[in-house]
Amino acid sequence: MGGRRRHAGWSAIAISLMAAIAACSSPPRSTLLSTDDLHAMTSEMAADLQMGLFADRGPDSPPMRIAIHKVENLTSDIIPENQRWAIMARVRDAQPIIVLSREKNVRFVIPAEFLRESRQRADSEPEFAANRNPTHTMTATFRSLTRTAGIHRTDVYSCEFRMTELSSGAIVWVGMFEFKKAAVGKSYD
Amino acid sequence: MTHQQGAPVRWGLTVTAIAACLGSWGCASAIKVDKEVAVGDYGAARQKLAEHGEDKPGNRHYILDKMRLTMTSLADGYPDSAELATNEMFELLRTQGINEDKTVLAAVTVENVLIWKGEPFEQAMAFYYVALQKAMRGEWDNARAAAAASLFLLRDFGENEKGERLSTEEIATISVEQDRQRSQEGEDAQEYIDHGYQPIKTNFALGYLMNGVANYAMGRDDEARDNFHEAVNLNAGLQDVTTKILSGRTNTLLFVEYGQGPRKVRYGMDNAFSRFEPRTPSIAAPLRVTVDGGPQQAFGPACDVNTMAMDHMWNNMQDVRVAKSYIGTALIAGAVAVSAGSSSEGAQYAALAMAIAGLLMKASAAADITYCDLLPQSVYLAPLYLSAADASIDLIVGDDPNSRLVLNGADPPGAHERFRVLYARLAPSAAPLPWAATDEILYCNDEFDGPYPEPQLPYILGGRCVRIPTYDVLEAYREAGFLQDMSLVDLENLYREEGIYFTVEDQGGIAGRHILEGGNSLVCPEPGSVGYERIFGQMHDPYRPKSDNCKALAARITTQLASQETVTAVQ
Repeated sequence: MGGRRRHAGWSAIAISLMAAIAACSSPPRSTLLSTDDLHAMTSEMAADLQMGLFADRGPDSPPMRIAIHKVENLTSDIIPENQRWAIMARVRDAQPIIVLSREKNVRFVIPAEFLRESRQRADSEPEFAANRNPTHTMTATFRSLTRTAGIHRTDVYSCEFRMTELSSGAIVWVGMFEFKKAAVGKSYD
Repeated sequence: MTHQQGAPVRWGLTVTAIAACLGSWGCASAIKVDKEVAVGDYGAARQKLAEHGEDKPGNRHYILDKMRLTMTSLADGYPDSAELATNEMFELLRTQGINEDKTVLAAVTVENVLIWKGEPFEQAMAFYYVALQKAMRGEWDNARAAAAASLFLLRDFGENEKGERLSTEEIATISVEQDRQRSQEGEDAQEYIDHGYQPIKTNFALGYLMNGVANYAMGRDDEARDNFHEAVNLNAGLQDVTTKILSGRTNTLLFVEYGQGPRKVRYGMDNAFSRFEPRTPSIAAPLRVTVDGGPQQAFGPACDVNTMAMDHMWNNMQDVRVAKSYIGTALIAGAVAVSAGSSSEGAQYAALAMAIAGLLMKASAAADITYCDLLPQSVYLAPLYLSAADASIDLIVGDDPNSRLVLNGADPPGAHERFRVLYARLAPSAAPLPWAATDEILYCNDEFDGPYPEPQLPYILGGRCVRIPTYDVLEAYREAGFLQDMSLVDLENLYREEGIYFTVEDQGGIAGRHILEGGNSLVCPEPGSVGYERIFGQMHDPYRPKSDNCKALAARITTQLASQETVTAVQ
């Protein structure tokens, strides 16, 4: 009897502790894009690209030279300039570049924006990137939809990646990644 | 017995001292930069804030210091240098409920436990500054996001019987009465402050204007028109501004800020409430602008910060919450104190406890009056068309001679941009500043292609050139007869030996003061800013070399210049 009472006592303490921990863990306070969100998205996009557009290509396929552009941000968040490039670079770098080049005849070339900046610099080599000639561009647009009610806020993010063939203007690959984030708390507080 | 009678007295004295200390906490203020800002020395102000500002997100003044660092960096013409502070500020402003559960603590101790997030109007202005910083960097999509964030819903508690907007004190009184009535009627406790208002669409015309501009710059014309329409509905004076932007005859957006924003002061019972009082009166004077001596154009204010600050819709009611809690506790304390009017020792201690509570409550009741002291009184947007590089823009607000500023070296946007953004924060100076109305650029710099002062020689070697060394720059020095035996690497190393940096990145993301002002940065401020005019529109003391190499070279050049002067004199 005494043992059972002690056991019940420990259980009560454990339940109380669990309840206290549950009460202390605060709800999410922000719907901002996090590094984890971006990592999950870029990993999925890279895998999608690998299994989709690149899957059927071989060493004798027509050459594909891809110029990436930074992410266009149409969300309610700020995505710093370096992060916008980093997202695209992560999708690009997830592909084993040497293997892509050798086995799929795919190469990534310097983005047009970097080329422009480079050519404006007084000390740039005149022949720099002379044979760049991209055949495709990879672009991405992030959008978000916000709903607020009282102290609740929800943002639905939709991230779209596109590969466009420059000669025809045809979109040859689209990857979509969507997710939702919710936060609780007074926005002004 | 004597010992027992003295104990309450000693306790009382101790508590009085503690209460006095608590009372003084209410005024804890951030780093003072008002003197620097008053004379347009935003370089000194931003350096102070960068070096001494709060650096931990949990610290009370973290957001405030980031906001002030952003504002002074932009005013000084360094939007890149404001990048870190701006992004950190945005992240916390977009985080909800960072002060949740602290309001009660604030009421019974001191309000300073709360992290300063600003009143809603200060938050809206903070988002405007984020948008401005992004626009100055040409990041229009990020500017759009920040501008949209400034357009949050407001809480309208209505008017009093005289048809005037309710004050915070009136809202507190109604709140206490309503909550007490609900409690007596056995209804669920529902805070009037949290439920007694109408959520309404914001009246922040500047936010809509900024959102419209950002969308238009991105080519999202329909969304731009919608936002401009909202802005004009709220402020009819913006009709000309938006029409001009949409006409296609605008390639430069000049944001101008004038005057000092309102001051936050305490008022009411035990100074428990706060309100904002104008420092610069709202006179709605037009901004008059002349580009390269052309016809004068006039623009009305896009935003009057005084008006926003004084409306309860733009108040977070923190003082009301604290005051309500104070009033409630004071009532209980009073009731207990009356019942403790007995001669027994226990009752005396009870009475003393109430007195202690009363003192502590009184000390902590004073409203927090921390506010962003750098906000302007009014904000203008002048859409301009610059047809040539190195334009001169002459501006003045109303007839205030101290507000006159001539911006030199402004360029139209590049081939891939729809707009270039210029930002001039007029110094709230009591007298005209010597460099403010000059149309001369006295030092060669990376943003000016006009006539250079001779001779072509680095400032660190006795000249007036503060351009970042490149092949072209070195060639100009050689053509002037100097540095013939130096390579570009030699010149760069000379700067490095002097501890001088060429980029914001080299300086950890925040540009130090310019070398012309005694700093160690060669990074050029944006033309069209007050910082650009202050740095290049007046003469500075000669540079004092630090390294032996620089000293020797400077001495050699001084001799060379002296001999050239002698030859010229003989001829």
